[in-house]
This record gives sequence, structure tokens and C-alpha cells, in this order.
Amino acid sequence: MTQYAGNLYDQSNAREVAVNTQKAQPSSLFGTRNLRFYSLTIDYNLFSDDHNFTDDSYPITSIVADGTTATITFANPLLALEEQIIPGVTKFYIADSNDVISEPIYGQYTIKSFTSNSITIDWYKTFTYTYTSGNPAYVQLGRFSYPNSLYSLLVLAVQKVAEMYYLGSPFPAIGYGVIELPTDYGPNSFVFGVANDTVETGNDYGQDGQLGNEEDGYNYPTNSNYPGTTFPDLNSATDNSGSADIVQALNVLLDSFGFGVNGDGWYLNYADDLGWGFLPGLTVGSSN
Amino acid sequence: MPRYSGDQIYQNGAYGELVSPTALNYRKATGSSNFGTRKLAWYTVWMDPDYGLAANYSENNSLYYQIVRAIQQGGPGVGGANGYPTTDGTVLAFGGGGAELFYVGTPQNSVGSLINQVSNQNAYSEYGWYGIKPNNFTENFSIVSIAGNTPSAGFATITFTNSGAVPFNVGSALFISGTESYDTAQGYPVYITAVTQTTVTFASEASANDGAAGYVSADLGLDCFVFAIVDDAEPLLPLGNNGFGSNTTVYTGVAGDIECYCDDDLSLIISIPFNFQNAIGNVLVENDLSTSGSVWDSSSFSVFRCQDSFGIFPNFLNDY
Repeated sequence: MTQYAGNLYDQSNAREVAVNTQKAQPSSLFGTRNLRFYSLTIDYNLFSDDHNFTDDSYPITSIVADGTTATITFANPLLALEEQIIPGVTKFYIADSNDVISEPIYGQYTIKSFTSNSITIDWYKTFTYTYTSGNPAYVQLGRFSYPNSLYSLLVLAVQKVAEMYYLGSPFPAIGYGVIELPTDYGPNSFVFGVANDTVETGNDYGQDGQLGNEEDGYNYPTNSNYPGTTFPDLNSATDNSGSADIVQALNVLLDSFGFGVNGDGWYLNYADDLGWGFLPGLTVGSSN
Repeated sequence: MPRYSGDQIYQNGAYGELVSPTALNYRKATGSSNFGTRKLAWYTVWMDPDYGLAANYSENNSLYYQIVRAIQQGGPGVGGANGYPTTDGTVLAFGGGGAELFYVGTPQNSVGSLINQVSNQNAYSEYGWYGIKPNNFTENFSIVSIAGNTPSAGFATITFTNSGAVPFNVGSALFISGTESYDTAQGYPVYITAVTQTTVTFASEASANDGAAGYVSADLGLDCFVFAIVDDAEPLLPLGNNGFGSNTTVYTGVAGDIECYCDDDLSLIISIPFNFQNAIGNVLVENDLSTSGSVWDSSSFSVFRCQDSFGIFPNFLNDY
């Protein structure tokens, strides 16, 4: 049977998230899709490869920058680190949440070269920094794309229930820098966008757009569950609060890490298109 | 046969059926991460609201439509001396190539985009986002008098000195300073409900009648929209290269990004897509909207690359 991508009515094949591509429809004048964006913030280390708080994080003892490169030295030889560094490929973050470095060198970098206890990056300014006492600045290796990282697990949880079109890297809110960055949105965040017709948008959108109901396993408002779907208890008949499938998928995952519902150590917000950017807006919900 | 969403990008539709032309974009997709998503670069366009970017935007001859098409068809391109972009908007024979758009937002005024924010409050103040929101303030108008509300009315009206045209719009964010009873706090404007050439009305619970003191101005906002393309930017010249201004990184790619550290203390970082800037500027010139006749009339519009963090917004990094 030939099906047009915009076929919204024949849902006979709607058994997996994968069939969502059949529903592609032009959402604008320009052949692009209608995407829905979310901002997920979590009080945990999203950069490590084994979802550990301090894994791959190394205190900085000194930085010497000559206007072209900066060499960052650590207290102890980074033998374990050395084995896995690939110059030009390996990414890391300089985190200065204690604001001890006078220069704005926080953020993401690619390692240019390294020794057993130092790494070198491109840097445009001349300065030196030496750790004396108190809270140090850190280098955090960016291993979030490893398959067992918490970031990977979070992304895969969302992909169970929604078709992801855009996925941002974790944001090192531990590094200062953005003008008036709200402290509410640390320490780690990332943005993702899903096809708007693959999420439960409930009453937020027109009744003709009730496309997400089958995917999330709940047929609002008839209250019947569809067979074979992932989360059969996503929405209540009285609280069809929207995107409950994503919230539920994250709940199930994060419960095993000791988190509660949305708002308890992690925060899933809609990211609204404001024209000049996307910013977190309304809380998606705390459905469990 | 696809089994998870990441596989779909290689399929001709989930079950091999025909797909609509608009779906073809993701036949071209290649996995850019472990998760089957593409790497996108985000940009935002800001423009003087007098240009009417948001007006009838869905019409196929609207300014918005023309600008999006110009971005899709490619700007003048990178091809100046030594491979640098031109700085005067000159249209070059070899362009940068059209950009494949993966997301195009609708145009909206930056003042109006409070909608759907946290608890419908002023999130810019609530969460400290005021500093990253684009503003477009009018001049200060001297206040002649303020008539407070009455219990039945619920509005206050300011009379101010103005010899020109009506300076404000209904809905604009109004800032009041130097008055006895009506000063607005930083980041907490009131919103205009009615306006004439010399008066402005806003909702207020205050009943005081103030005399001549203070000023009133409004944030008229900028018309904005965001769009996303496949991120094909790679550094062409290293950070700190002095060839195109100091402390600059030039990128390849359809956008022609130039990342610069914009002042001598090197604390402010801005990334501008020169190809898109030229493409948009040319549309404005063709529509007689650029008063200078130059695509580089920076007072009339801006386009910035955005950074991805807890949200996506212009790449202004500052050391504070």
C-alpha cells in the first residue's frame, strides 16, 4: 500500500516510534518540520562516561597562555587520561564555577597536544594562572557520547517515545560565561528537539493534532491503552498535561539513579521559540 | 527495516513507501552523533520592527519569505581577498551555496515573546534573562503629569512632552523612572494599553496623581526569527588570526561564520554568519528598506550564530 508521508489517518502501522516518518508534513512554507524543543537540566555529571559525579574531572594547578596556545597543568600525572586522549579529537571542558581564573577560558575545547600531566589548547590571549588555595578550577573530559554515560541513557530514554531531530551537547553550566546566566539552570543542561507530531501534546494544541496519543500508549480522551506500547500509564484522564511520555521515560530511568519526579533534581521544561532564541519556559509536568 | 528512530534517516520512508518532497531532507541525513540526529547550527535574525518582518509573513512575497528564500539560495559567499568574506556586502560571482534549512521559526517581536514563559511572569527578570533579550528603546520623554487609577478604571495615564509622531505602540513594554509613585523596577515594565501622541495608559493599582517629574520610554522590541542549518562550519583560520581583524576565527561552510572577540579586553565573543548577513542585507536593499543603501547598515538588522546551552540564544559570551 502506497502511503503518502502526510497520511495522518491510516494508523494501521503505528506500532513503533519509527513509523512517525510517515507523518511528516510541511509545517512551514519552507519544507522544514515542525519541531518541539525541550531543555533538560539535571543535578548530575553529564560529561562523564560512567555517570559518576567526579569521574574524568581534574583540578587545574596552573595555566600558561602565550597568545596562541594555553597549556594547562594538573597536579598528578594523568596516566589513565593519557591513554584515551586523541589530539584534535578529544574534547574537554574547563569548568570554573568558583570563578578563580581571571580570564574567560571556560567552555569546550579540543585537545591540541598533551603530556602525562598537561594538555594544550588554542587560546588567543596571554595570561598565567596558578592555583594557590581554596576551590580549584577543573578540566572535565567530555565523554558524554560514550554509550554508558548518563547523557546517553537520557537521550535513549527520550528516543524510546519520540523521534529526535535535534540533540544538543551538555552545557557546562559549571563554567561561567553567559551574560546573567540564571543559577537555576546549572549545573548541567542540554536541549533537544523532537518532531512535534510524535509527542503527546494533549490539550495544548488543536484536536486535529492529536497525533501523539498512540505513541505514548494512551488514547486520550477515551482512556484506553493501546497494546504493545512502552508506557501504558502515561496520562491520567484528568491530567493530560502534555509530553507525559517523555517525562515518564525519564522518570523510569532517573528513578534508578535516586531521582524523584520532574522537579526533584532534574527539570524538563519546554523550550519556547522566542524568535531570538529558545529559552526554557513552562515545566513539562511531573507525571509518574 | 527500521527498528528505532535513528535508522529512519537512511530509509526511503519507514516502510519504503513514497515520501513527500518535504520529507526528502532526511534522506540526505548522515549520523552526526550516536543518536541518529544531525548536527545543526542555529542563527537568529533581529530587525527593526518598522521593516515589517512579522507582517503577513506567510505570504509568499513577504519580507520574511524573501529573507528565508535568500538564505536557502545562498548569500554572496566567502570569496574576498585571501579567502576572507567581503566586508562591504559586495555580491561575488561565486556564492557560498544555499543553506538547507532544518528549522525555521516564525517571526515575532522580542517584546511579545514573554508568552508562555514561566508562570506567565516576566521570566527575563525572574531568571535573569533580561541581559540576553534584544531591546530597542525609544528616547526618554519627559513626564508632564500622571493621573492615577480610580477604583473602577484600573488604569493610570501619563501625559508626556512630545512634538513628534506617536512614539509607542499598544503592548509595548513601558519603563518609567524619576516619578514619585510610578517608577518601574529594573526588568519589570508595565505594558501599554492605549496611546496617543502625548499620553500613554497602562494597568495600575496606584491612585496617586503625580506632577511633572521623570521620564518614560518604551522597549519597542526587534522583530526576530531563528533558523537552523546543517552545521558544516570548520575553522578555516585559527583562533587569534590577525588577517581579518584581530582575535578572529574564520569558518568554512555555507554560513561563512566569523567569530570575533570584539573588544580589546577580549571578553565579548560574537559569531556572525557573513554569508547570511549579506543575503539578508541584499533583500533589504532590493526592497528599499536600507536607508544607507548598504547591506552593512548594522543599525537596521543583525544576524548572529546562537550557542546551545540550557537554551539556544545568541552567542554572547561575557566575562563578568
